[in-house]
Amino acid sequence: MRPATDFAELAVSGLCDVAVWKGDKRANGKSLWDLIGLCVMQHNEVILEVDGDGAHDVINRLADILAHPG
Amino acid sequence: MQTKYGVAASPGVAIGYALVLDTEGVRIPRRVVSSIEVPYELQRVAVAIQHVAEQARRREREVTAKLGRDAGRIFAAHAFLLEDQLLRYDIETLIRSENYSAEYAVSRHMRSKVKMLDESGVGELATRGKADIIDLEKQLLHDLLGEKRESLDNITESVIVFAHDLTPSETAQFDAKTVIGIATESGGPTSHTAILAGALSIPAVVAVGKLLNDVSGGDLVIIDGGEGLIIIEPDRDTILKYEELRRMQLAVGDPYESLKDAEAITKDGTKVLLLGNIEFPSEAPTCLERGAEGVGLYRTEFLYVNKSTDPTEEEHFEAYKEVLSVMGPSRPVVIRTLDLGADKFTHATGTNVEKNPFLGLRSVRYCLVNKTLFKTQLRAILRASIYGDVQIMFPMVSTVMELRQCRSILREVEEDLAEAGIDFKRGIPLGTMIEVPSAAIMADVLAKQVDFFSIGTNDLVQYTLAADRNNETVASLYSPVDPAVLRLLRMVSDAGTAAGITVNVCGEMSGEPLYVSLLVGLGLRQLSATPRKISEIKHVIRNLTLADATRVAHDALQMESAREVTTYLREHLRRLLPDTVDR
Repeated sequence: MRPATDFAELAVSGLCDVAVWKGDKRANGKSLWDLIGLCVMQHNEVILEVDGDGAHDVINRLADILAHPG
Repeated sequence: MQTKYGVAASPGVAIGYALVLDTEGVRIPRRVVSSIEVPYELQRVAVAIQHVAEQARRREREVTAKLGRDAGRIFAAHAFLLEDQLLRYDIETLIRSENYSAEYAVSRHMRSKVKMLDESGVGELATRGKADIIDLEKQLLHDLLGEKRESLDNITESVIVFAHDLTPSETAQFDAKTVIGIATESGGPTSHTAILAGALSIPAVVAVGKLLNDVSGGDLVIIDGGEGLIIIEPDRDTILKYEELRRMQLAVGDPYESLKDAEAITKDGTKVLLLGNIEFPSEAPTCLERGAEGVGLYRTEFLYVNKSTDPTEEEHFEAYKEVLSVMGPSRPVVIRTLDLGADKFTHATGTNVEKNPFLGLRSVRYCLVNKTLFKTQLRAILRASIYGDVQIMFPMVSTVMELRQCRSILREVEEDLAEAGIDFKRGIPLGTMIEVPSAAIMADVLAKQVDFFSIGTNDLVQYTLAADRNNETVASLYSPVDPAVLRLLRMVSDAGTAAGITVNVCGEMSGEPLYVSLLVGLGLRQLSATPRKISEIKHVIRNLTLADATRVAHDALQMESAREVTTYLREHLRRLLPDTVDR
């Protein structure tokens, strides 16, 4: 829950669109409901799709959260 | 439409709206609203979501300040979920398209989210997520319901109650006119819920397992207590089918009602005394209505459970006096002293949680070390004795010594009363429950110390076979006609006859038509059962001959397995009563 919250809050703070793919399931990265529904577990592989202003920065920080949920 | 299966605890069919009790007893008052009210419900939901979101942000700040960021995160997550437009949109859609009330829409939506997590089956993360979602549901409902949160005793429309578990006093409060069904996740066939629901004639299904996430307050449900099933949100055909079933059952009613005043006597003239088991004074009239010739077991535990203090002597006295007055001067009322352990007293401060409560300090053992409590009950019984034919019985006696101690305490109480000039009947019949195997084995010795026995078959079977009936991994070992149990029954019956004392059978076995011939054949002449079974038992007795019954008992005692005996008894009953439907 906590890393998902961090993830979503970060996604929301930026101007770009954020999507998370697990297999063929897509979640809106700005919606915590969507993210919970995706049920991303440790060692799962996901694809991050970020589009818009500041995408590079956001995608790196998001990837960081996923890599180090803490 | 979803069907859930559990244990059939009390027969009957009911169709109604669910009332779901969570641990805080929050309930949803209304399921659908008229189209005119929809805009108002939309507004209510928007306001509630906003309130609760603000609350969560506030908590986040407070908790972060006190305990740091990590602790505060929990509330940040809540706030975030609540601030998400998607939440509001989804719930509003439910209200608009289904005309749901704000509360029902919130509950449905949240539960569907929980269900989704359930189905994805991802363990721990999902567990925490689910808990958070349920927490949010509660908070939103609290905000929506505001001051209007109602408790159990305010139910005004017919409902079927769903809960994880129900305490005896909660069940006891139910009015059969408004609570038309009960379904619990836990419990067993002889749990308090089952006994009470049966006594109140409310259809009940217990031990369903996970149930509460699949039903929302206000859902239409069907309960079939006789089959042990529940249907949530049935389709039209199913509703019609069960309405028909319900109509049929009501029309048939009690097929043996005409026997109410008939004698319980075998074809060749052997009389069997049929008595009723009760938990509350209010059931005494029901006993009479159903043709019982007295109360064979008055379970007094309900005077103690879920109270903040022990019952006073007056509370005991009033209850006993009421029952005795209803039953009159010549119908016996057998009062069983407290049969609980400390674990059941909600006000007992749990210092030592027993590992084996059924083998622990309960019933007569508990009373012997809590003499004040014991004496209070005995005093009340003695004082009430002038109002009728009262008899006292001690539960779970396992040694002769315990019985002697009980008698001596009773004598002390009699002396106290005599000294104070308070009126009571002397020489009240004293008996002991035979439910611990040691008591059954020592029956010949115990028989000389009492005026009667009462065999508690439920516990006797459990203790003898060392199997917990509510534990489904071993429940198949539990059988009242296991050969070991039959030999003990014979032993106790013979000991009673030899000493010239009455032997009563209380416990589920005495209310089962299947076992009547066997019990009579073993020499038992007094059965105490739940009142609604009495006519059925009487019907069997009236078709029986003692010769028949004796033969049945003799044959059964030669058998080596419970299954053999059960098959044999079924065959016998089928031949005896060819028109009875076999269960």
